[in-house]
Amino acid sequence: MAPPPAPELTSARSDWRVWSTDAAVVVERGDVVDAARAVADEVIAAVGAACDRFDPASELSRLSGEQTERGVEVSPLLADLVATALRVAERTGGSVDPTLGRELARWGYDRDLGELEAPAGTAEGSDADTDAAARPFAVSVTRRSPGWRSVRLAGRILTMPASLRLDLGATAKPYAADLVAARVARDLGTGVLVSLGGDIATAGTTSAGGWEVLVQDAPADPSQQVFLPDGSAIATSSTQKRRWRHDGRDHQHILDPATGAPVVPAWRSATVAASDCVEANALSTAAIVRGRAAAPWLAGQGAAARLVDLQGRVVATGAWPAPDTLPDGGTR
Amino acid sequence: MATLERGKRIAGWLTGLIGAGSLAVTAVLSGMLLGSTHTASSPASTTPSSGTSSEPSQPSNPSTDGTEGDEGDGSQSPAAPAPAPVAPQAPVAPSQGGQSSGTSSGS
Repeated sequence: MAPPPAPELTSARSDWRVWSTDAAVVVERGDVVDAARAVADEVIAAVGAACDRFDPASELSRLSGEQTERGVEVSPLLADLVATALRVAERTGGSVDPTLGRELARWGYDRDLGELEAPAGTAEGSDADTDAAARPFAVSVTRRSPGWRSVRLAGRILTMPASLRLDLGATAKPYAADLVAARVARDLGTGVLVSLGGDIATAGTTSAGGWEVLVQDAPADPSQQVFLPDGSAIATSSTQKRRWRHDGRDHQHILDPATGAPVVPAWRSATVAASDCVEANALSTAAIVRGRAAAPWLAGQGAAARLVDLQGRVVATGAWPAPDTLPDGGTR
Repeated sequence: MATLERGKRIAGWLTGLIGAGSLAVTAVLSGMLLGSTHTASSPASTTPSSGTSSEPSQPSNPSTDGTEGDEGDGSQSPAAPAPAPVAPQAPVAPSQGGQSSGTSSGS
């Protein structure tokens, strides 16, 4: 009997848009790319049905404050998503807090990004009111207690104060990337790279032992290509993306849990490589929240990280590889 | 007469033994000369072939072979060197060149 044909090792990819961002799945066995995309669609749909706060029909949206105050049994997937978010909150010392849903809505991020007013100066946004952006403005910012510490998850019973609204956006995307990558590698027997909005997870083994990945936030930002070994992940958090205009002001989506207000950026972007995408995203998001203190904090964590400051200078920590060249003024 | 017959049987047995031994020695030498690629079908010739594998011999690991303590004079054998800790693989490395498969950027 003739042996089965060898798997096709010409890699193939599928690209699409989801959650207001770009998504891609790349498989080394090109013959399974459609099946890999189907796995991605299935996982992303399931995660969205569990926790999309912009979808009124999602499980998270349908939870009432009365229910959560009393304690409510949630689906296994939502329970795992909440558990992941709480682990990340603990891991980052509260810098990434999943209880900022109400605050995000207060700053105008209460619908899908595509439905919000684009920031000034963009192709989509009006710049008629750019003077307003230059004027000083005052907002009522008060210190808030860490919300995540008041969330309880016992098995699948979720309990939290009625006043809190969960936003699992920071962890759901990398969670989905990890899950898609793991399932594609396991079920389809191929090395795979999954990118959800720049959060990249890999799984399985490839002939090269890993993947080439370009690290670059905005087109004008300094770039660096790196090698991501099989099974590793990388995530970038940005203060230049996912922005909108609200009450005449531009805002970005990463809030400081201590105040509930958008972070005043110290970095244009923070990129972290780790063993899984949830960990990478947790550290990169926490780096944005921690501002100038992020570099020594990441170094203390032993994190392989790359920060780009507001002037485009690069600061690297841990095992982050040295670039061939750094822009003027760049440091390591 | 019986003694003569017994002597003939012994002589015949010795002759056969020497013949078999010669064949075995010949097979051993043949196997050594032909190396690991020799594929003789007789069992006598496969032993030396396998004994002269082209693979390099591996030094025994003193921490695992367990022979030093058994053959020693009762004195305590020196402690085996601890295996070097396995450094965790860095999650990122310098580019090896080639086209990137993805872009890590904020969303």
